[in-house]
Amino acid sequence: MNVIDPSRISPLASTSSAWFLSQPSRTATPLLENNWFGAGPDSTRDYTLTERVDHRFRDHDQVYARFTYGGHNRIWDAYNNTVPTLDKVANWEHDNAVNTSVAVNWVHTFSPTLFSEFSSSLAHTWRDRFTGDGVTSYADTLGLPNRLK
Amino acid sequence: MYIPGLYNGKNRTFFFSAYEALRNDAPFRCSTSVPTAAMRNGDFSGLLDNQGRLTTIHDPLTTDAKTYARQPFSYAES
Repeated sequence: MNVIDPSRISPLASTSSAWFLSQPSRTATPLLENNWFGAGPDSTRDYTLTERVDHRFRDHDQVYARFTYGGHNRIWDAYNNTVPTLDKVANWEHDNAVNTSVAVNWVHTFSPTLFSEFSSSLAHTWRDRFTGDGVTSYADTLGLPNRLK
Repeated sequence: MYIPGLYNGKNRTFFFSAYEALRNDAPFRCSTSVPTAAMRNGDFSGLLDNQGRLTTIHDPLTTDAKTYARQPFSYAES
């Protein structure tokens, strides 16, 4: 009673549960109590690198150039309070961003009370947010139809 | 900026570099229910309610076309 013939269990269900579903961490009836306790992932890595060169061509002409490269990487479980998957891929959401900027600045001094300044900058931001590892075709791996192909 | 043998930019050229980073790990507490090993193998005989009664699962392939009633799974290991 209440037992499914193993031959009728979907290969997809067997594969996917073994692939990324944790075993219970405590003995409890799932209908009555939670049987898995643990920590869900949420990690952030941010960094910024700045390089700047100042050069004085003459007393009246000073120039600087700056280059800045910044990155942001965050990985977390896309659905809070769900059990983190074993493969650390399924359900895990990635948010990656790269910000690059350059700037140049030129100050020309005409007199102690008059100067001109030219400043120019360019910035580029790239952002990618996705689940999975960003490479694997999970539809193909699980044998599912993929309408994107 | 002074590079011996290559460049002498004393009092003319200046170089500045900075790097900063943030590492933040903030795991969240999680409690939930997952299928037991027996359930993964199709055995739901431990699926009890708070009265200790068995919660019956039904076979969708036995759905009656008129009543929509379904029969419980009743596989018996031989």
